[in-house]
Amino acid sequence: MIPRTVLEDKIRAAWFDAQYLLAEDVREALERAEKQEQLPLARLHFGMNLRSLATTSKVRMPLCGDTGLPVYFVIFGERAIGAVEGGLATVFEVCRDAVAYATREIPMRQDVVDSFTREERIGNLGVGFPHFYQRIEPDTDFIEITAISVGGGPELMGQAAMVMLSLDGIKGIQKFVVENVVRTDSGTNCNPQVVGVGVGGSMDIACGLAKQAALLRYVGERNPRTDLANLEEELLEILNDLEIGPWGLGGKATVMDVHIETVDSHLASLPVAVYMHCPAMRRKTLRFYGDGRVEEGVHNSWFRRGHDEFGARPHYSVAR
Amino acid sequence: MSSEHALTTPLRVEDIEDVKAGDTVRLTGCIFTARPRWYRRVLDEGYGLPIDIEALGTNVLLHSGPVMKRLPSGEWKMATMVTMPDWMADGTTGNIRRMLERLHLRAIIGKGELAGTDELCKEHRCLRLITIGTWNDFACNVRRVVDVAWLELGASEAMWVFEVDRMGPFVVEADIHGNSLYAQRRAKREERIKQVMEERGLRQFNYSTPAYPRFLRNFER
Repeated sequence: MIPRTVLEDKIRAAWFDAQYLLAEDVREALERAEKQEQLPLARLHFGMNLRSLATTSKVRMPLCGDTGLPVYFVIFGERAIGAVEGGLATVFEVCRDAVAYATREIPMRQDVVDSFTREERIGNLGVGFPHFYQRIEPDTDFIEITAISVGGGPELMGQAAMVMLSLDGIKGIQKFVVENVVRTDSGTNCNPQVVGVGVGGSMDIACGLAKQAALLRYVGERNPRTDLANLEEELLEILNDLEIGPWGLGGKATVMDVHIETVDSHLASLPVAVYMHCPAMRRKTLRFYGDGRVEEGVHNSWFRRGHDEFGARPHYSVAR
Repeated sequence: MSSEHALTTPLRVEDIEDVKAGDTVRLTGCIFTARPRWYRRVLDEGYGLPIDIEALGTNVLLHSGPVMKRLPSGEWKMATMVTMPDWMADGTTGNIRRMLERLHLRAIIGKGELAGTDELCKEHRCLRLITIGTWNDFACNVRRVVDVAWLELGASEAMWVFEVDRMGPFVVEADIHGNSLYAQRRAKREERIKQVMEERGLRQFNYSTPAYPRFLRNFER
């Protein structure tokens, strides 16, 4: 049994943790970046980031002024769905309420607005927001909810294109990624980035993969496919060689990591998408088991479950 | 060698004469916020400024949409704040130049590159400051909300006046003598990017994409 009150308390608290603290992996990456940096301005940048982090945990204020669009990544485990008090509707209701509560109490900025009139949506509850990315996982006894605030910056610089792999090889992908990271040299969004690269599928699938790769995979985590892991390492090296640094003012840390995710694609085309997330990685994962146990702060299993030997990812594969 | 300056608003030209691009600045006094809709009202829709900034002694503009919390007493409390990239305010119509022509400010605070700041800041004798490490550090230096107007645009797009105490450090991106950090760095950074792409065999290489009308391509960056 998963009681409604438990869901409510935990999901509300998850937004507070996400906004006040930072995802652990990114925090560590920032600390490493600060140690490596030589240039005074870049050092000042990381020093101030770390000081902000120390302040937030003390005075409990949101880390970044752009508190972002609220999104949830939900994995409904087959055997846990029936255990939720009030059924599936409860999960969605509680998740929406939690966003309104957090917007009022943390507080978060009214970032959700009508696309055309720019009218504010009270409590960040609007059409399509909070957004739910969801999938059903067979033979699993938990419901996993990851709450993430996606800032405006990461959405500004993303790009997708159709690259012809048959003509260009992997170089085409590399060039496209490098090109897009070079665009951050104007300091429009906050470096260092976590770069998500989605390859294959169709336009929408590539974009989705790129975003999920940036948001949900941890800094330092490599793709299980060796060729892709090598490509990730190579891109990471090239991108940090560019010395764009924080705000395009120079520095060693331009990107924190590169995550490539792939599915198969049509014979005629290769969709590639790049998504860059800033260091304000506000994510928190909760796991509610059918028997009432709750796990907090666990590593999300969005990309981790059910890899078959060909490296196919379950959330997009249909026939197995 | 860069140095840190402590400045108090209202800034006078003689206060900012010695401030050089690359220095850092801490501000004390009053600053006001603006976001794109503020620009639209002031520049295009014929509104007068709802707050008398001169009377409040503020001639420093901050591009930011702060997150504000209203206490039960009706008072506003700063929750957190981050600066906005200046090009968002500038748009394609040179909003910042048009605004400076009207308001005679001595400093604007934002982030990122803004083309032409070397000329602009010299002409208007106005510093351009940028935030680096943009997290809540700055919000902690806000002492008090002095005034607010245009709340009907939403708390973030509204015009706020804050009293701040040693807020910063801001980095001086452009000083009043025609120096700009981004302009100084541009040649060097482009050189480096070209060099790396050359080494990796990516510079001359272009991936093939489906046909796109050439005349629609915007080659300018």
